[in-house]
Amino acid sequence: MWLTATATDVGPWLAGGAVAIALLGWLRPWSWPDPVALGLLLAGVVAVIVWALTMRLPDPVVARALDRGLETDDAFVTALQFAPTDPFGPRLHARAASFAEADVSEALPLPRRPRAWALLIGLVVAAIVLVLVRSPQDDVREQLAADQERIAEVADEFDERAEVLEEAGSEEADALAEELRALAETLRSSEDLDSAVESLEGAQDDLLRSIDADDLAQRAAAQGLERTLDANPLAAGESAAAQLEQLAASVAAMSAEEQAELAERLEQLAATQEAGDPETADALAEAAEALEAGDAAAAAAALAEAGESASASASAAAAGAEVSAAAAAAGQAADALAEPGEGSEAGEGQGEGEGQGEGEGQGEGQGEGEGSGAGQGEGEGQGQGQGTGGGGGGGMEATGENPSGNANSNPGVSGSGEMGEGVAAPPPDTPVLIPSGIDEDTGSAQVDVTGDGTTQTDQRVTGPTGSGTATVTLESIANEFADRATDALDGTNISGSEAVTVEGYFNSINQAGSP
Amino acid sequence: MTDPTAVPPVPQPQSPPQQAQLTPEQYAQIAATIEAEVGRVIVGQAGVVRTVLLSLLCEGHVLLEGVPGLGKTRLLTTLAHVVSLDFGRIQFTPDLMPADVTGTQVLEADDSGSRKFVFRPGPVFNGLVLADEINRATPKTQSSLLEAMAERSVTVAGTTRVLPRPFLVMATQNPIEQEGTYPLPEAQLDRFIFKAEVPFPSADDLADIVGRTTGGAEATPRVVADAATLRAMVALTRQVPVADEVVRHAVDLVVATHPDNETSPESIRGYVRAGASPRGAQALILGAKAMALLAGRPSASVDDVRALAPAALGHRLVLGYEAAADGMKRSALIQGLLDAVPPQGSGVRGAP
Repeated sequence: MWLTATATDVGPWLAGGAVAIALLGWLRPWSWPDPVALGLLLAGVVAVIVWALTMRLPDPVVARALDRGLETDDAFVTALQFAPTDPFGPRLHARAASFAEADVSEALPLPRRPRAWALLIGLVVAAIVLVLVRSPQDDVREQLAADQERIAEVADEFDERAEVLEEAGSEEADALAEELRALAETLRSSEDLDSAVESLEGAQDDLLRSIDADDLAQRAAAQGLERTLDANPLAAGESAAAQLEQLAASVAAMSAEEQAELAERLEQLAATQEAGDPETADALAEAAEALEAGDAAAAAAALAEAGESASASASAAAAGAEVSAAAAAAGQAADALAEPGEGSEAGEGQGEGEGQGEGEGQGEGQGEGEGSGAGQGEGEGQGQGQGTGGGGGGGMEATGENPSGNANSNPGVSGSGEMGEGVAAPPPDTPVLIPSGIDEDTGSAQVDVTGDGTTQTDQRVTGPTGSGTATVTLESIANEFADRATDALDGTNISGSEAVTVEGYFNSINQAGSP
Repeated sequence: MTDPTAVPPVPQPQSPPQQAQLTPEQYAQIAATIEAEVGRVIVGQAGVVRTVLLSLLCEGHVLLEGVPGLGKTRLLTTLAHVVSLDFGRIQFTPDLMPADVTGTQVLEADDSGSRKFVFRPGPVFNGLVLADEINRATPKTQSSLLEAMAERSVTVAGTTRVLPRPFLVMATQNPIEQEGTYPLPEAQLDRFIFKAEVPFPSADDLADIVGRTTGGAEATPRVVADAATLRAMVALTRQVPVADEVVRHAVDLVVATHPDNETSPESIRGYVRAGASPRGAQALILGAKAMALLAGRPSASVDDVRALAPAALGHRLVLGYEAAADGMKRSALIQGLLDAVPPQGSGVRGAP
């Protein structure tokens, strides 16, 4: 009786609430209305049943209910209050006992409330239907869930990157790790993709702003020195600093001819470091001068100083590289999140790239001649770039190389940068133009790669086939692209943001090209 | 229609039973016989007879209101005969003096020739007193009777004399002829435990009355009880148990008659200037006890209380001029009160 009465009294309200909540799920892309609506119904049913089973009514209440149901003129209530020993007690209890023989179901019949039952059943069915039937908001919810998953993945990546940085133990690395963790938390608290992308772009901008031109030049110089000495060591040692220190220890034992040759080499190295790392350049030049003057001791001291300077520059370069890498990662993550769907899969991307090139090929190209030693100069390289590809075309400067060591760079031609349909990287088996078709004799390079997965013929580039058409797969030449791009990044005339963009671009190519 | 030839059995013994030995069953049987005997004479006024009997069993006083000729005097004389009580009638008139009600000292000479004051009891020194058209006497005379009703004693010349027990005053009022009357003040109306309106009998009842009273022989009621029996019944009435819930409902009803109470209905707020006194609640419970015994039940119920509400509370309401202006009757106000203050529910969802 209580159960049915409560169900018909409270049930419609609960079911109505469930319907209202389920309707919210049809109007808003919130994820909670459906489970809450079902939970409300289920909790209501369970609560009423449990309550009915565990409820213990006080005796006066039961007596009053029986009096009302059996119309006993308050026989039970009165009998409950007066003991059998009272003057009227025996009569009271005998009368109550006579009523107690009646059928309880007759006294307390189940309430018949057909309208309430109909309303309750209707509302319950409506709530269940609203929850189970697929609504337009379900698509939105699924998309939001996928977005959140992608955001979480990106946040996890930043956390992993932060862990790696923390393991490095340096102060700069810890600071950067803290920034990355904060960025990860910000991402996790992002309500949607746009805010996540905004956070990432903001983080990228902040990181890029922390890199000034001097740092970038120093990093380029340090990395160039490392690569140069790695390819053509001066002495034993894993790093440039180690080689210079080793050289300082052994320079006194060198012959005059070796010292002269070393002086020439040091002069060349000093020239490469002058723009980015003046201290190391000065130390190297001083060592070269000392060697030319025959002062081995001064040369050793200068070499030791150069080693220390190179070591410091290498450390600074490493920290800067981490910042750049983090900025690049943020940019890549922002691009990936901004793309619909799975993002990095080939073929479906679209963009609004307005290819533009800001390449002003200028300045101080840095390169390395092949075969005949390092040659560097302030030539005027010629550069031209055409930005293409997914994510935004950007003019890319091409740094000319010259075996003679003179790199001339002309003002870069701004790329037209039409946005192709492809994404960052075409499929690995897509034929592309190989950079080996660059005419090294002229010191200029003309590369024209479109982003639509097909190659175009540039009449100035013959390529292995002589026609400029593609003959190799991306997989086979991706590393070569990356190496040349890395060399180009060593140039101090490339801004930080452009360097990051280029670096990210080729990283994506490598990732796409890797099996 | 009551068959005057039908003679219900008379409970035995006639001799006054011991109060402690009177059982509820005997109570119910005697009361039923009294009603039946009175009903052999009084036709079509069962409700009034029941109200008067309840007043007698509660040892209260009753006020009857009705036009002349409806058998009010006959009712009381018949009741006095059936229960073997002395009957006194006082016809209230404007020149009636208090001594005419209570009695007075008179100078009498005995056989030896000496004279002394002797108290000559008035009609109030009877078990049943009919105060006919009580509103026609002056307030001073009214108060002399009402004081006797409340104190159940009369003080004359410095001597207090106790009135016989049981003592029932049945006063009557004529609701039509109000000119030259002195309406009873509220404080004196409150002395009457119940008030009943004597309705004009239906045509069938009237035909029966005419038939009985114009024939050769009228039905003669039998004596079925005496003063001792009535005293025992009065004592037993007060012993009837009443549940707290029943008392609470009586209190709720009385409280709701006050217009400034939050539970009072709108009609009470609009037409009543003052509600019932605590005597109203006492009348409800005491009458409910008597009703329960009359019904053969050992305990009073909420329904008994509600059934008595018109008789116990109606005359205790002090109405404002709005009631007279709108023709609002006390019976309608009490019905509104009963509707506004229902019995307490069982408190169990789904149960009545």
